[in-house]
Amino acid sequence: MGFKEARQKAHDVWASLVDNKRPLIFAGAASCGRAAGVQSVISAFRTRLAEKGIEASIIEVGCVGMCYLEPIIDIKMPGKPRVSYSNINPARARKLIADHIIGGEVCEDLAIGTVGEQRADGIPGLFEHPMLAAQNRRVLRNCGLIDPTNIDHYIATGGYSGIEKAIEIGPEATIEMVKKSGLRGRGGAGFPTYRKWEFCRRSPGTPKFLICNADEGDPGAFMNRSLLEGDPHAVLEGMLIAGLAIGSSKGIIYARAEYPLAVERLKIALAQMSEYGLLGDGIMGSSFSFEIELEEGAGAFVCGEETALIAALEGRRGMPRPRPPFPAVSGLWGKPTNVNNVETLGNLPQILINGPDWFAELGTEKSKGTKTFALAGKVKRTGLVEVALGTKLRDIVFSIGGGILDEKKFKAVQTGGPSGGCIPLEMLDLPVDYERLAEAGSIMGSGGMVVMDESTCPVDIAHYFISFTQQESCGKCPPCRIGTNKMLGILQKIKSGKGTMRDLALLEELALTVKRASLCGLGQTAPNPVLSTLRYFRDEYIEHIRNRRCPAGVCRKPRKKAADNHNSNSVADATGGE
Amino acid sequence: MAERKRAERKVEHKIIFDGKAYSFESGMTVLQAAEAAGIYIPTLCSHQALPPFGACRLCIVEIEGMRGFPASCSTPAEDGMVVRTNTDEVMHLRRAVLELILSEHPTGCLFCERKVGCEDFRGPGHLTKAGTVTGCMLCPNKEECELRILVEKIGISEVRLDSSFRSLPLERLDPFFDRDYNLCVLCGRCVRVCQEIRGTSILEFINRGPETRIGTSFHHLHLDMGCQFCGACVDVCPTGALADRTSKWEPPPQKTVETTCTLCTVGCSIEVAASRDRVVRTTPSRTDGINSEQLCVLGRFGIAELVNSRDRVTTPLTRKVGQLVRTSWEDAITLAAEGLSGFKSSETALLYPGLLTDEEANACRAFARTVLRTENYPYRFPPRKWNSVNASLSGLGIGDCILLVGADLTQTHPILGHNIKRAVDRGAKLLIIDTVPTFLDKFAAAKIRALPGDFSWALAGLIWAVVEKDAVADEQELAKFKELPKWAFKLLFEEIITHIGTDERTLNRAADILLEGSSTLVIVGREVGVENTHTHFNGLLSDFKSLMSSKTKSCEVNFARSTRDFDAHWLKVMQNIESMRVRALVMIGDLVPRLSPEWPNPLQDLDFLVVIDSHNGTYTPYAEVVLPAAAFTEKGGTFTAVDGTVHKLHPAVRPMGQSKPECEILALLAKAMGRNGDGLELPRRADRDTDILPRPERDFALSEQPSAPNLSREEVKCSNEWPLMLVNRHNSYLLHGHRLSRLVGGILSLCMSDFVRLSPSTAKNLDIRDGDEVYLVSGKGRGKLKAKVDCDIPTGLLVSRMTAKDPRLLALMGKEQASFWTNTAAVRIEKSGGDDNV
Ligand SMILES: Cc1cc2nc3c(=O)[nH]c(=O)nc-3n(C[C@H](O)[C@H](O)[C@H](O)COP(=O)(O)O)c2cc1C
Ligand code: SF4
Ligand code: SF4
Ligand code: SF4
Ligand code: FES
Repeated sequence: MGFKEARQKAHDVWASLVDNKRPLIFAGAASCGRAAGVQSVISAFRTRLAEKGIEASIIEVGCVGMCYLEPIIDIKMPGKPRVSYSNINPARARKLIADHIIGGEVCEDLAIGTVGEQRADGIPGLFEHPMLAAQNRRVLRNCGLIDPTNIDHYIATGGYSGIEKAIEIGPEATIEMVKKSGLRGRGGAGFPTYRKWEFCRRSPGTPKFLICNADEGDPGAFMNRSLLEGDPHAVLEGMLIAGLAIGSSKGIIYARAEYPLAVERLKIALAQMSEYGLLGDGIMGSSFSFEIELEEGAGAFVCGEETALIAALEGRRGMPRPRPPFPAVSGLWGKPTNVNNVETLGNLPQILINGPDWFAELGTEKSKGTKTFALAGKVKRTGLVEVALGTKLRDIVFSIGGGILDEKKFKAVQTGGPSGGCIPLEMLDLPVDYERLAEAGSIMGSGGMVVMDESTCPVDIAHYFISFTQQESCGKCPPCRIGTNKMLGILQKIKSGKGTMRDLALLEELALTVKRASLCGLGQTAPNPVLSTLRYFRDEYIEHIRNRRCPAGVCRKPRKKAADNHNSNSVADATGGE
Repeated sequence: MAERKRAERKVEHKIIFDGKAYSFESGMTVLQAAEAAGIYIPTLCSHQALPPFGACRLCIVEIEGMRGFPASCSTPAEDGMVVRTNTDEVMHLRRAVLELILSEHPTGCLFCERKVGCEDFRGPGHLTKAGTVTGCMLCPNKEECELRILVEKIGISEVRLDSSFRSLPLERLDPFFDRDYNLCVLCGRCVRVCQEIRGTSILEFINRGPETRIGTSFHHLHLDMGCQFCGACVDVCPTGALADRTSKWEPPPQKTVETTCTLCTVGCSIEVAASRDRVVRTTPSRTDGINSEQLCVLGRFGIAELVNSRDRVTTPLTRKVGQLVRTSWEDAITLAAEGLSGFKSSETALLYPGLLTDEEANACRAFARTVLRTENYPYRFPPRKWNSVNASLSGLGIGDCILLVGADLTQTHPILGHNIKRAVDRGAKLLIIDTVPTFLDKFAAAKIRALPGDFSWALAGLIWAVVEKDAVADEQELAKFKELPKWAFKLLFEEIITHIGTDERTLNRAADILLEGSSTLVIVGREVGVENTHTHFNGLLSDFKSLMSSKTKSCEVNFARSTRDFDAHWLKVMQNIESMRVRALVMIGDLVPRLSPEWPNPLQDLDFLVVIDSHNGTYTPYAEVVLPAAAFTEKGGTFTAVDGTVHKLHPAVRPMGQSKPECEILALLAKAMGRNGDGLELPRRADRDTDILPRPERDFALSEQPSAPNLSREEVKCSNEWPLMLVNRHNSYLLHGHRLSRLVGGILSLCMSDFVRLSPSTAKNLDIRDGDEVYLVSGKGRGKLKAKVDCDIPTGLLVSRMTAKDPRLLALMGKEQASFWTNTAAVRIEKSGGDDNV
């Protein structure tokens, strides 16, 4: 089947959804939906529909990003608008069948919006919802709306036109286009994507490898997971484009084994790509050939670091190595290798389709486009958001996140997960881009964003993140392996009211040593939570030391054998205890 | 090879260190450039034999145009680079990092204010033996500790951080070296040398975060992981974490002497550390030897224990009223001379081992010819000089193929095996024809299995595959072959394949690899020495050589037989002894195998036995006169290695007790027999001109290679009753006929193997799981072993590595078969078996 026919078929499939003959039920079945119990909702639907003898299709979709409202179920009756309902449980499912599917009446009390052009009386469009209205959903445009296990849905919504374009204009022009778009790596460091590509393209040696880094390991971050679960083809198409650009014919996805659903969706998507001739020799009738292999990692944060990831792929212990040589020169099996993040790749198809100017119309001078964030912590609306770079933190926390839970006061927001820093109230108007976050002592990272209220203790936050990084250190270099551990010890001491001012000075000195002397990004960024809380909340540290008191009331003197237990206000809860 | 030479030509560049310009050669790291410029940069994880690792962060510097503090050891130097090695910031960070390292290491003695006095007072070598090291005073590494040097050079005087002592138990259950990971600084040198240089991968970083340690997977013993006990890890360890047991509690050596290890024929250069006339330790020599600073277990750990053994013979002994008693040299020599003189020349014989120095071997032959005037002495072919490479194989790399035929080099010539691995690292391709999986298998591009006796078939198959690859191979070409036509006309390729049981794909792949390469080096090992079809084999080998020489640039055939191999004379001498034609024997070493004391003593009918030996052996109790010989660390001379290269021996210590070098003993004996004839004005020092046996100037033709005597090997056939083929290859180390497992404690645990390996499908058919105890039953007897399921074993084959002396092996195969290096039997497996008679 040529791609033209495939596209025609896809449009037919999609049309039958828009103009459906029988009731359609869309279930938000990404990991967040599953955690909220969508599985039992789906089976409640199945049983009741069978009992009633109603023929309806249930389609599992990804996450629209409103994780706090999961399980979300959309119902579309023939000729009627698609209505989204939130917080559905089996009982409510049965009610929806009775009222909406059988009765034809939209349940207004449960509905949160309609999807698509059509509207139902009294129900706003879903994308007018305050959480979604302030967003620019570009990478995530399909998440929650299409069936991620159906390649036709993806093609019908413009999918695989990006690689078509790239093949048409060739590698150099593709790189040029990405250069003009200003796309920077979304995996953390924000390195201009085209530069890495050029470096790799020019580097001698064959074969070249393209690796998709899907090892998202920061606690509280789930951007890549959502994208892979909700729209895997966007990432895979991005891999084709990147592969073409750097002159590689072999792609590898390194996915966390802790992401079983994403892995499953990728497997299905890869099989469909082969079926449609989008993998293998002569893709779309061109001379471009590409294979994609899926590898599952065994879950170590440090394996997200590209040189450690490559070591792990080679079957060695996942430990970073110094660069140079960069992977672009000597990567997997010593061959030129380009590692890109899931989201970086997910952006590519639309840059190719809509052009670099369209991409660059959003963003700031040096940071173009949009960025996804996993919004978590003490905000009313948690979930996966995508905003233009340069959006103010305040807008994200208050407009999108709906402000602080229980009407408490905002205290700080931690960006970049354990490698990032805390940004305090005074800096709420900070535009979120790579440079500004770095100036504020934090990083963009891959996009974790944890909001903290007045009941959060910065010492406890620092302690939490350091206990994570020191546990995840690969152990190769002493600053990171020993330094973070000693920092943890001092934080523990301060938390339990036994710290001294000398400890505080030592903590700061250690933090700087670890930051400067560590081998890889993990160690170099691990002290950020400590350094940033020290920068903005030093008085609270001092309060712990001088008056043996935790102003936020979080740190208590350790009980016997419970030195590491956090009480209910600690960050472990805020980030879901990951 | 010419290209390689050209690439090696170094180009000079400029680099600026701390404001001054220096030149460096391309390919250097910043650290190497600094070292060349004489600038000190502290290092801990880097090691000159290992590729950069960049872990310890002590070597950090500032480089203009680079972010942060790059590690100089892993950053390639570039032309025009501006490097600052000693800014305040760099110095501060180094101190901070060292402080962190020391917070995990016992530091009591490092910063003790009485350090100087304490060390002066106690002096070197006054150590307290303790289980766990808590300070330098208790550390076996104290004298050569790199950490202590770093503390001085970097200059820190306290550790302000809480110390985190790991409280790990000392690991002492493996032979040869102890591991105290409380002292480990996780520099990873041991891990890297084991993986990257030795190819063994026994050690690895385990756990992560603050629990990161060095260890084996699942905390298995090194013995169970297949550790070679090469000691490379011990030698690169900068701390006392890894310490060899023989020298651990010895004072620092008073002197070190460079000499050659003669425990096998490779000719490794070693450094013998000695203290008070006692060998304390042997390590690989740091000068460029054939062994490029590596050794095997014998050279690294075996020598000290061997030469210091309590089994050494230290005084002459003579038989008085049925008892061996100590006596003086004069007395013993007189007795021996008188005894020997009482026999006709044809009734005397001399047996000497292969691992003597060249001078001694010459003296032995001269003694037999001119003093005993007998023909009853073994003839030893001097090893041939290898044509382009020597045993270091350092010239081999990309484009070169190495074909090993029946050469389990890691066993027979350990460092030669290691050098092959290194050549593969450099890009050479390895092909193996052998019966059982060997250590080198994992580095091989193709492996062809052949049962003992089938090497000719395998080689014929390989030749055939190469010929088939080439469409132009016509009658003419075939006509050039001497041996192949006999095979080719008789047999089809398919028949060869069926016979050796290798699939066509493997042979074809091997042929492809050979044809892709530009040169082939064939190394024929000792397995071929016991070939049934030996004469065919040599013919095929020369066919192979001419075929490959015509297809590629060059093909060379070399022999890595061990000097212990039988030669025709040897067998004749043995026959003469057994048939009692020989009445009096002078034996150097312990050369007549007697596998079990229950078996008749093959020398019992001799009238007069003189044993010249360094250690007590099987026949010392039966000797009339025992003369104590010096060990090789106690003598000088030259040693011709397997590849014909000549190496020097230098005495490191005086001969133990009253022992003397063999040359001297033979000279004394000759004099006492009144025949201080030609050639026995014995060279004390290395002196090549005194060779008695003329060395062949020209190359041997292949057909002139010493051919193995036609030892009759029983043909082993599987049947319904005995459906499986058991192949056993000995796990033994011999020196002058002595089993080293008897003289060096740790070797015994290396030789003992309780496992029989079988293929997964055999295991499945018989419902055997890994680790199960099974009984092997042959027509001759039975033996109990542990099953190990191994994907490398072909279906139907069982592989074991019992020693020649293992009672189970003797029971299964019988005496004759068991004495072969590799032996086979048709067996069946019983899961739990009747009465337990072994
Ligand atoms: C400790 C550590 C963890 C990392 N984890 C990830 C990760 O989970 N996903 C990711 O894409 N990049 C991660 N990175 C960044 C990668 O090393 C690399 O920069 C990135 O994959 C490059 O892709 P990009 O150019 O598309 O951003 C991590 C880096 C470090 C130091
Ligand atoms: S900084 Fe940490 S994670 Fe990175 S190499 Fe060093 S020890 Fe490993
Ligand atoms: S002795 Fe040799 S094989 Fe064993 S762990 Fe050390 S380096 Fe590895
Ligand atoms: S055992 Fe020795 S060589 Fe190995 S990591 Fe520890 S200190 Fe380094
Ligand atoms: S010597 Fe360079 S990092 Fe250890």
